[in-house]
Amino acid sequence: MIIIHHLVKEFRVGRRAVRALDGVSFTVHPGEVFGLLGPNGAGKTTTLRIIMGLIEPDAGFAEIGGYRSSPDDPHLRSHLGLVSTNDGVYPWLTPREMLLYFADLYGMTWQQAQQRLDVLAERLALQAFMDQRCGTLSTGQRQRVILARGLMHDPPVMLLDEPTRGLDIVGSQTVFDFIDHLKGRGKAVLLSTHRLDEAERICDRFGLLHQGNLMYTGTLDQLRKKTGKEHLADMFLGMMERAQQENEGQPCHQ
Amino acid sequence: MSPVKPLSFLRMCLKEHRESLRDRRTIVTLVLMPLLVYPLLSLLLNRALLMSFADVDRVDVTFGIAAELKDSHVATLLSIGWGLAQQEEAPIRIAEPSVPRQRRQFSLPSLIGSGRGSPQLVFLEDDGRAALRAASVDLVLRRKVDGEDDQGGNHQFRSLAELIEPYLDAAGAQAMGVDVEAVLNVFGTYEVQYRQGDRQSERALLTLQQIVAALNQEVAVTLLGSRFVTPVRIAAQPVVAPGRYVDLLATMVPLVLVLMTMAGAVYPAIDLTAGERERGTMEALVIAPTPSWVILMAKYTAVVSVALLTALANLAAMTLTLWVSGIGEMIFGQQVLTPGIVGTVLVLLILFTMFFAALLLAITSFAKSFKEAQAYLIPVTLLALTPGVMSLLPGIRFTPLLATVPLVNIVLLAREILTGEAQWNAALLAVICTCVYAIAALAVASRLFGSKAAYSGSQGSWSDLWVRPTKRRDLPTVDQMAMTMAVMFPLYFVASSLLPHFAHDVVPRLLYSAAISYLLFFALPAAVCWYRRIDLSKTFLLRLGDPRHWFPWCAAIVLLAASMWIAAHELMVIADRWNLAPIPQGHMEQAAELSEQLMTLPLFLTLVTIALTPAVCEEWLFRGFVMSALRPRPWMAIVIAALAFGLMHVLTSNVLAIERFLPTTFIGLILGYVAWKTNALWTSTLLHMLHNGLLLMAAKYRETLSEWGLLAGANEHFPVSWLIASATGLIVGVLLIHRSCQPHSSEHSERNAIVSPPPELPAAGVERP
Repeated sequence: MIIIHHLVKEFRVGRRAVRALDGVSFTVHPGEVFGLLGPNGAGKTTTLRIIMGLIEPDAGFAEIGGYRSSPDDPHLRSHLGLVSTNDGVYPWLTPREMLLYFADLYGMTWQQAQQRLDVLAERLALQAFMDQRCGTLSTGQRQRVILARGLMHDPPVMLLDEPTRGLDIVGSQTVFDFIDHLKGRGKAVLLSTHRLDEAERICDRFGLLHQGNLMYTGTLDQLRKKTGKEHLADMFLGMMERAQQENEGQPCHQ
Repeated sequence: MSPVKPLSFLRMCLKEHRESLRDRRTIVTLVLMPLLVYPLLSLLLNRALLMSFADVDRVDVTFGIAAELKDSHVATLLSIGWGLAQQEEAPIRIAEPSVPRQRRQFSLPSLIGSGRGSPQLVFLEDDGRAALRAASVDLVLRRKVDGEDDQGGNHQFRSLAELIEPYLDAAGAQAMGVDVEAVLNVFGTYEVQYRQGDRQSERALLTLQQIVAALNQEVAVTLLGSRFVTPVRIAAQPVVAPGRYVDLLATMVPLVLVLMTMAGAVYPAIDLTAGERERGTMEALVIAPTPSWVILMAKYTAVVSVALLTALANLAAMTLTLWVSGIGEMIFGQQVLTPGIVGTVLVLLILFTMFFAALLLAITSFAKSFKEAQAYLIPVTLLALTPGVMSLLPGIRFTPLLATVPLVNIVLLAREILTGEAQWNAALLAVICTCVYAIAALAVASRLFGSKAAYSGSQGSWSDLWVRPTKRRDLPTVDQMAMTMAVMFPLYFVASSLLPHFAHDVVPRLLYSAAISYLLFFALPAAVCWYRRIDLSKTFLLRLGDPRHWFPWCAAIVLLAASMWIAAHELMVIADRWNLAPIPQGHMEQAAELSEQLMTLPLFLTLVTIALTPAVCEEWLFRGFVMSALRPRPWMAIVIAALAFGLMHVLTSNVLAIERFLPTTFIGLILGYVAWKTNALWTSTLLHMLHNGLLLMAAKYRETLSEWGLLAGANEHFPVSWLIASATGLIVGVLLIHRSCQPHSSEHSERNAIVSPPPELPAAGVERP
């Protein structure tokens, strides 16, 4: 499971310090899909990077299974899987070659890798284009290869960063089905997205992130009670309005 | 984290090769470029060669005869002279006219103008100036300048004219109605014009001078008869001397090869690093538990392979072009383009490729996109071109100093090999420097590859390399060490090469070299550690250790110091005898001279500069800084530090003392072992100091020791009893150190604790169906 405790992170843009995260805390349990929601620039990707141990937080920590992630200790990375919206494929390699390469990067044996490849090829319907160069694949096919890449080492914790961006309905549905499958297998899934309608469909709990602050956390019912609004989109708009009013009331800290 | 399995690494390398070689753009530089470049280059070269330095036998010279001389018999005279010049024994045999009459069937047209390599004669309508300028003739015989001497000497030539008659008969001159008086008139001084600085014209003048000399020789023989003996003779042997153009072309060939190899490496280097970022595969790579340097090494093998394939394709295309067009022979002579030479050049290219691929990866690892990588590479290519073009300039010799300059050293070394002038010491230095630079560049690349700037989209720039970290570290990283060494190594070499220029007397020299040691070996690593916030006391093992161990340690150190110099000496002698590293006579004399000079100095000064300073500075650098960076693998740390220590001792002042490599590396291994086992720098420093002091004392009391029969010559074996005593001392010393130390210090176990895997987490593995 994932425990995020009071994460603070500042970036320097020129001479200005921009606070990307300002005391973010939440927990994701095994077998649960947690939706980290927020507009662009809310701090979702920064949170994911701290969890992966790519960035050191200024304060707070991220724990996976009781161990803190850190850039100096890449060990935890084999327990994490990541599928990101920016992920790409190797155009000159076939999906099979690419997936086997990542199996090597995760220290899997050849037999393990072959078995895993068969399982994933069946579940994500990759067989038809397994030996075709990735450069010739359609967007949906590529996204399935990327999903397979993130799951190749069968991690207990899965981080998904806007996995459906650029996908059509069929492609998105493949991703949703897969998230369901992960949940069924007891994985802790952290889904970061700004597609609120999708999130409503697949997430068990939500965290609404705005300007580095986690405004609300809870299940959809809990959020409805707290905010008095029916849909996530309305909750978000209300949240942003309130934040804007607060900002106008007090001078901006920078 | 489990170490990367060799088979996995092989598959990673395979992936990088596949990716590079399947890319059409790689194939273009790999195959098409050499196919196009070399034939074009050979066309250009051909043109240059024809214009400037065609071979004597290939292109004939042309003499123009001005209108004023048209009716004289100068042409006849020239043809006779040419005939004489071509006959080696002509001056002697000419005294018997019957012999040449039978042997030489001359005729004017057949004599001049038809034979291979013989001069052509052109009768001109004017004074020949225009023809000379237009290069339709190579020189012009303009007119006869009649001096008084010529008139006075004319009677001498009468008998000569009679002798020449038979030639004229044979040449058909009689048929043209020539009389002896007319022939006599051709003797005298002629004004000749030629184009200064033009090789062809200058060679025509030379040919004319040969013809005239042959004629004059003939005259002398005729006048003096058999009494005349040619006083001075020259037996000339033509060799190919690297003239200006030859030098230029011999440099251009390796330069073109190097540039083409660079072109081959650029694309895969960008594609495999910045390309990962652009494709969006970089993040997936850096979040994998495999260390980024392993991934980078796999990429490195691919870049080196593609660059090598390009180099091979280029070398093959070039050898073929040079061979087919005959230019190679013209530039380098007949003996040079042998498989051995081509092979040596190939080895050099491999070395260069390994260096340049590392450099490229260091640069492109930083870039976020293809465009950015190309933008970084343009200044680098220009920077690489400048020394390359500089090495084309005539008069640039391959000195040991230039051997430390990357790129230039390889280009110049290749040129020296092609023209057969390579000197092994500069060559070795070039090879060592290139290897050091390659390692440093790889270290930088592995630091940059997948660095924060490469994936987080932050405002990453080159300055990130120099940003002072906020967190403290216990030990320096390998790349920090490699970068420091890459800066220090050439600096040290240049500084010690300058030493004889600055200081002639022995005292300033000792002080100067001590200052260099403190500055480069002591202050530089200390400054790096301070700036990078690296723990000085952990890096440089600034601890005294358990006082209970001091006695056994000191006993072991005394034993080792007393015995290891004998073993080191023996190694040097063995290397000399087996010709692994023969000791040059000059080095022995220098050493003897130095030790004599040292004897005249106060003991305190020599002890400080020769025993204390090197011990403190070198242990600080090698056993402190270098070994700390590699400490997780102690044996590797000891060996690498010892090798670097040995190499550093080879590069002393401006001579390369290759014979010192084996003994100093051996001593470095013992020093490294002592420092590692005791986990304190003072032990190895003390040992180093005692060892140097002992050698100093041996030099100082050389004569006394020799009288007692206790000193071997520089290349003589020690008595067997000494060797046994030395081996025993070494073994006992090492055992004492081994027994008195715990297997691991507390620091080692701390490090292990950090990297041990958390036990509770379920292992990543296969989904069981």
